[in-house]
Amino acid sequence: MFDINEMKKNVSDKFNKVSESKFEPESVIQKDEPKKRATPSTQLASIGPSIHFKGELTGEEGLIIDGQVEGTIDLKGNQLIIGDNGKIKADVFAQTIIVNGTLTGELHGKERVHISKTGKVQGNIFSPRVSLDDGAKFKGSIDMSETQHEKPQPNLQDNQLKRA
Amino acid sequence: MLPQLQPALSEYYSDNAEPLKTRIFESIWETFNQSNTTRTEKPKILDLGEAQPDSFNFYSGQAGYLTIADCIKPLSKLQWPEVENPNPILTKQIEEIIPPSKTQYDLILGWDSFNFIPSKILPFIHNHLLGFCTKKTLIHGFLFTSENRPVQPSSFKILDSDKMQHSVANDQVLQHTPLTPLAINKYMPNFKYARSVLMRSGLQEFVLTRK
Repeated sequence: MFDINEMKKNVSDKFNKVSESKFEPESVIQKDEPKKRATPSTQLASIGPSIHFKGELTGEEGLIIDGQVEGTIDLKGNQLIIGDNGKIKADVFAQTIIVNGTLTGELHGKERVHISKTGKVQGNIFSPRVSLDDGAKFKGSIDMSETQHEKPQPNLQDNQLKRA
Repeated sequence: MLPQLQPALSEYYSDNAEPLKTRIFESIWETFNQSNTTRTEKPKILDLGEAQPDSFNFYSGQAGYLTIADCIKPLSKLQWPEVENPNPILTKQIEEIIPPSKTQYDLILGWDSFNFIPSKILPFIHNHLLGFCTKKTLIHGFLFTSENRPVQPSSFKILDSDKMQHSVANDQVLQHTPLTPLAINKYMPNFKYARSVLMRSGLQEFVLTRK
């Protein structure tokens, strides 16, 4: 398992300028939310365009992905931004998910999911609020009920039953 | 010989977009809202068209479960296979375009697909769609009643339950033989052409109910 808390936050100045002007992540940070979520936009962890990651990616802070990720992404109550160059084949769990790049898989947005005009999503979305920009591509299903937004925890009873 | 392209439709569409007063769609939502008082789930919708931001805003408040199949263009390009028994080939092609699912929908939005899908293929689409239907599923759509239709499937935005915007890619049209309610009843044998409204533009809004 790969923990993004351990990642160095070496976001380049150039990338910061892009993320501030384009993604506007501050707009989704609520004042009354816990301190751990009030991360300044410039300190969002990032996965750059040259990174190709396979596996289970977890963390407790916001993340921008401009590279390629395959597997599972679980940011719990935090924000995930897929950059223009981001290519994701994964099931994603986050508070807010903004897609500017390409994503194939299930999106579980506890608060909302947004697909921008450059975004392409193929898969199923579970979120109470889903929005699209003109030009966004989406094919799949959307469950707008307020359930199934968090990654299911392993069921101990099931495991015990399997062992038995 | 290729069908003749004709410049037209400008009489219908300014800037290739036309507002529609959708009385049948409105009545469908009234029915859903009435039945919502007796059931807890919001309606499940299968939208055969492409994703539209305005429609999403509408669905967000109204629908419980939504599938965007974005399949009208690929369905309209299906051709009758040149083999003796086309059934398995066509069935497979249709399943690739609309993957089978266990979900059963209250409403299927067919938009203008019936104007573009070759009529010989419609019974296969019908058979496939049956897997997504309950005994109460409705199919909503639009027919072009004139002898001209747009070159390719158009887009529809839901602005409200009684208001849509219909846009065509350009103002070129093809000559075609309009599909009749009788033909739809023949090609969709488990459904019946229940109600229709002819609009000024020549579009006919209709709903199919289960027999």
